[in-house]
Amino acid sequence: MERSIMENNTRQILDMLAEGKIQVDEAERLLSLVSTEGEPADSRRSGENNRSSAKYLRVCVEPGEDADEDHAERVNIRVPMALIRAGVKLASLIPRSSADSVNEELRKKGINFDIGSLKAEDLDPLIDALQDLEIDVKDGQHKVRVFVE
Amino acid sequence: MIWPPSILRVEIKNESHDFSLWLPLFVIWPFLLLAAVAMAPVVLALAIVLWWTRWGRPMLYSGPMFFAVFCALRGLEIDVQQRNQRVHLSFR
Repeated sequence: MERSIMENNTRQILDMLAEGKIQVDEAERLLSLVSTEGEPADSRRSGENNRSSAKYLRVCVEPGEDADEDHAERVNIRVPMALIRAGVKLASLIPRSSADSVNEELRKKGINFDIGSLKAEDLDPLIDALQDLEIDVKDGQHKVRVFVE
Repeated sequence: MIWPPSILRVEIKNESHDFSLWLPLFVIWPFLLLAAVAMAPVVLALAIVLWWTRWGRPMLYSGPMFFAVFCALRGLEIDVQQRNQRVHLSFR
């Protein structure tokens, strides 16, 4: 049933495109919406589960094999994902002119980043992507691990 | 619903000091609530006045956003150790 509705919608979009009622870009956007509607509910639900499963971003620094015992540092940082979400939402409130000033200061410090490009709606895909992230850096002095749990 | 952090634990340790503190943040919750209620009309009026400038929206949303950041602090943990020195900070 759902499949036939989807096929109907696809046909209607293609007809509208053929008749010149909509442009190619618009047709592409509508087709992608139709295909998203057709996704099984389970897969959508599993995406929601993934979102809720990532609770913390962890950064751990431990002394490496060649580390001097006197200066060996251990750092353990656990940042809640909710804090990252809230921070990005807060940053998205910064007016464009102020964001430009912040960008300029960041650029002076060698960080080329546009703080105005941070959007709350881009955050969920970013956090989803972070779940697969695991950074492991080892040199003689330090072992650094960045991961999501 | 996300609740604000109720306890802040601070621990600082070195050769000469050993300092550990549990701050009951839940004590300030009622004061925060009172401050929010008292400030709400002022913020709302300013947001309406400034709506046509670029500051109206940030003015209106910054209060709830800061509160969301405060709530999201629950679970934050920072621990740095070096030989006999330790700095630990956690929100619970």
